[in-house]
Amino acid sequence: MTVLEFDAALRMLQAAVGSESATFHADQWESIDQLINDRSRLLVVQRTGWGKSMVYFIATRALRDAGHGPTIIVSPLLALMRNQIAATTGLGLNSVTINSTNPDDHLKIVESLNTDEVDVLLISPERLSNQDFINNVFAKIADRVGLLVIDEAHCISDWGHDFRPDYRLLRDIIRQLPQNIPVVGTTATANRRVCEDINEQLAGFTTIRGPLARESLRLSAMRLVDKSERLAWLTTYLGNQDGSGIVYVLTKRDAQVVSEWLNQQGIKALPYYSGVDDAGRGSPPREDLEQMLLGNQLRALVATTALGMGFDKPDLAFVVHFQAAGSIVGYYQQVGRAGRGIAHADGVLLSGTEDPEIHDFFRGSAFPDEDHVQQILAALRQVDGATPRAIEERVNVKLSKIQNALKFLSVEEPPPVVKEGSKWSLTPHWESWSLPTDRIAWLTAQREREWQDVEEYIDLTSCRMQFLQEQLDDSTSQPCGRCDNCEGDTELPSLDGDLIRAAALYLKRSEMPLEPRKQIPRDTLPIYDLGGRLSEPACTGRILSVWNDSAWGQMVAADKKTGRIREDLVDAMVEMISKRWRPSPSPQWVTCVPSQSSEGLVRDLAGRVAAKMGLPFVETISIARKRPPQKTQENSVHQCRNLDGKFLIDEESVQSGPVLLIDDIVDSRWTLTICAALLRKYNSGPVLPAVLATTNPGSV
Amino acid sequence: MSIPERTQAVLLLTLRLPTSMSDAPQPLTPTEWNRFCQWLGTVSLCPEALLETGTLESADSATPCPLDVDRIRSLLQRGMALAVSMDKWTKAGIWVRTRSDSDYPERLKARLRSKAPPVLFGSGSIDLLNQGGVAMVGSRNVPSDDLDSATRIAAAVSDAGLPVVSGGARGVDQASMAAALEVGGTAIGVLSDSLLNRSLTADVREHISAQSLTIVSPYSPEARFSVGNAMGRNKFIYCLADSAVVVHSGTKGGTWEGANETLRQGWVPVWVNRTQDRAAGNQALIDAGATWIDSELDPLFRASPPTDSKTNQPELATAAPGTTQLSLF
Repeated sequence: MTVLEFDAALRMLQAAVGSESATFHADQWESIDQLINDRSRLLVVQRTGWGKSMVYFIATRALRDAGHGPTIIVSPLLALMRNQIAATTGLGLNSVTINSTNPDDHLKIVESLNTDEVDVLLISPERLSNQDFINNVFAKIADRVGLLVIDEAHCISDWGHDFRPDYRLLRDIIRQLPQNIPVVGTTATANRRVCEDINEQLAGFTTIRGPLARESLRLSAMRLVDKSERLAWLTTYLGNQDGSGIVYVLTKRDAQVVSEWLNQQGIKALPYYSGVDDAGRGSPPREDLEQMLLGNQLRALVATTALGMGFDKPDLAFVVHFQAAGSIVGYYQQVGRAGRGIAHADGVLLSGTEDPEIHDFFRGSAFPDEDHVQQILAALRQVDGATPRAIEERVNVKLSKIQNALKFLSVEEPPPVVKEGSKWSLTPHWESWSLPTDRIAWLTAQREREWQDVEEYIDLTSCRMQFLQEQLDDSTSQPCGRCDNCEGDTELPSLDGDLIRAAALYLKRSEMPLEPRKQIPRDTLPIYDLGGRLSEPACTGRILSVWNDSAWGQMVAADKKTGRIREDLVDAMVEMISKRWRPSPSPQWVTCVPSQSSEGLVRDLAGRVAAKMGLPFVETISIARKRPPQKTQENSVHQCRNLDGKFLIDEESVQSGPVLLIDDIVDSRWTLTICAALLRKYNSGPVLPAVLATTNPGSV
Repeated sequence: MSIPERTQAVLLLTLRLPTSMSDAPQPLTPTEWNRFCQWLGTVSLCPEALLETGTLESADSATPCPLDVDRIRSLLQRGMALAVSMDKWTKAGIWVRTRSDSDYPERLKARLRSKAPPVLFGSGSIDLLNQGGVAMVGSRNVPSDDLDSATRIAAAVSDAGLPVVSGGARGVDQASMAAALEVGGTAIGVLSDSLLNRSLTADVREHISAQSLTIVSPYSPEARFSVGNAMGRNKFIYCLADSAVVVHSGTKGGTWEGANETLRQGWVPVWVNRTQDRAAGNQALIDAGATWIDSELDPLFRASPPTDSKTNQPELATAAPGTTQLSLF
């Protein structure tokens, strides 16, 4: 039995905070009391800095003292924040973290779990769907878990902005939890609808809400159509102050582009997104990036939404959105981190022309395609179980879409599929299940409405803070007196023309490396007799732009329609190759990928590039067999099969020196990979791919 | 899809969980569970009441619990482990019933009383478990003409509109069940292990969906094979049916033990197939009181369900609402 008295709890707070005069914030003791003494289930909705973690750390201390097992905290945070570490130290709690970025520490951690030395286990949300984690780590404490904490609990809610299948699984597990295991969910952002939805999903929870206003936050917003204008604005803004903060973007590519620009302008910034620290990218681990910002060793992290909620830097001087967030709740979530412990902090929302299209794309790809789902279920019907790769061979759908669809299906109620080990199987529920198209349509419409709310916020002429608070159903809202509208500051800032020109030039020169594929899926190219590791893959090449993105990308899209690439683009390509890339070995001749559809466009482009570079242009590759367009093939297995026997090499015309292989668009890189392999087979020199644009910036 | 609190409590106290370490608190055996239930009756508590803080301790101070209270408390704290497993199993279509659930198979309660399994997991129609049928048992390695007999008999059982009840093992079990399903009949499999994996295989899944097959197990859905469990579940095969056919038995082992136990206990009439195998124990079963069955299969279908399946057994009657008379859970 655990009964925790107020006095004992207060002493714990003081130990945690390191001050004998510390007292509880409003509702803090009440939350602890209900959690420990009533064994209630709580949803705590309080702004960043109120001390949500203090509630569950003190609860953990009390539970441990009474002989209970450790607490599990589920959080997207990769590590405890500094103030949380201080609190656990003050309370004498030993806390460990398991996430996918520290696999080497796992063994040590498992050891300490065995000896009951661990008081708090922090895990990322996707751990509980990982069978290895369940078997090797979770199993050590599963019989004794004393408290379950869900950070960012709003992710359980369906209401648009942050729905995640891993949180669905958490909800399902909570529903199976006997009532003698206490649970607390915490979030800094949930309006009434979200709270209601969470209460519907998780019966028996009590909600404790507090006011959400941030006193020191100065909000502003403006439309700056072009990226070059926003890059210029950002440079000036950061040049006029000392503080460090976060610049939010919507895509990983934008994170790279913006942070490189800032560095070129003498402002130390690094990109942050999921996968930024993958091998070969040369980035510090994500945890280190967070620490660098916390320690002010950087001016800014340029981040996607992967920079978790819960990231808590008391002196965060600004949160600038380079592109608009998709919902007001999402925006508040991100901007609300600024200014917790300082007198003055800025929340600036910039919005550009690309934003509506990006959000439209996000909405469209949030749920799996009905047709894909039917194909996947049909494939699973034939077998006891299959891995996603095995399904990829039978179904013409991108591997990542197969995986996402399976994850979505696995948390449907009741789910038509279930994962056992590494294989997915149909459950008996599959026959009566169908894709909830009505709910999906409703959720998509909901997200469109949320985006419209953001557009309204951008164009607002009244108090911004009040608008946000009202959207979050905070009943204490009144005009803040600090935002741009309250101060009557409604004019667009004057931007430095030179900076804008420099930014525009920068954007035109931000080409990307093109990594060729090095391995061919087995049994896909019988005609060419190619498979497995390639002995002479193509060299790393260059891509000038992203399809339809900014200056060059939009021109490429336009010129595809007219049928001829304009002179500016040809010059840009030549400049990219000879002034910046300057490949070694340097090319001695030029050839191109033949096209079934765009008559002569690529041939013409390659010929002109060759002429400007003073190199011979030789058409060595032609089309032997017509095939469906490559873009109808959705995954590697199908893409390769589709290319088998398509191309014919004129062996005699192959030159022995290094060769520039030119194409207009690259998507999956298989066409370039196979053409390069064929050139090498007939004794060309090293192959250097160069293309105008990619339709798939995520995969390069 | 979550289960009643009582079921949670029973599972916490009696079920070995896949995530449990070897030094974990030992779940209660069926015998221990029955003793514990008697104590619950004495202190007027139902199992789910133990989920409230302090209930176990105050009851123990009123009337000492026959089992170690620390052990009971540790078992009750396994909620997180239970939740992760139950989530996985229910999503795969597996249900769970305890003895006090209204749709717990009647025949098991009537024939076995306190030896009925405290917990039953299954996949497929629960109603099928109340239709009686003919138990068909036999060895894993049998001569092919005995397999033919199994097939013939199973088809006849299906024709008579009754389920074939068996154990899902290789040999006679699978031949009988497959034959019944083949001709459009129904089958019940009482498994000794791997309920989860079996329920996800393509053909089992199809038959479960079609409501022609139900598989059950008194053990965890992820239990691995053990000889003890294989022998232990045999009695449930007999008790779910109203008559039994031993197609081929050895002179020791699971089929032999199960048949002899049924003959001693008198749960259901036992018929024995005339095998050509001289080494078989079939003749010895006749000597112990079983009856030969030949091509005339009608006698198999004349057995009736236990007459006292619904009458008031003091140990197992479910409490009428509002009364204080409690039952075994």
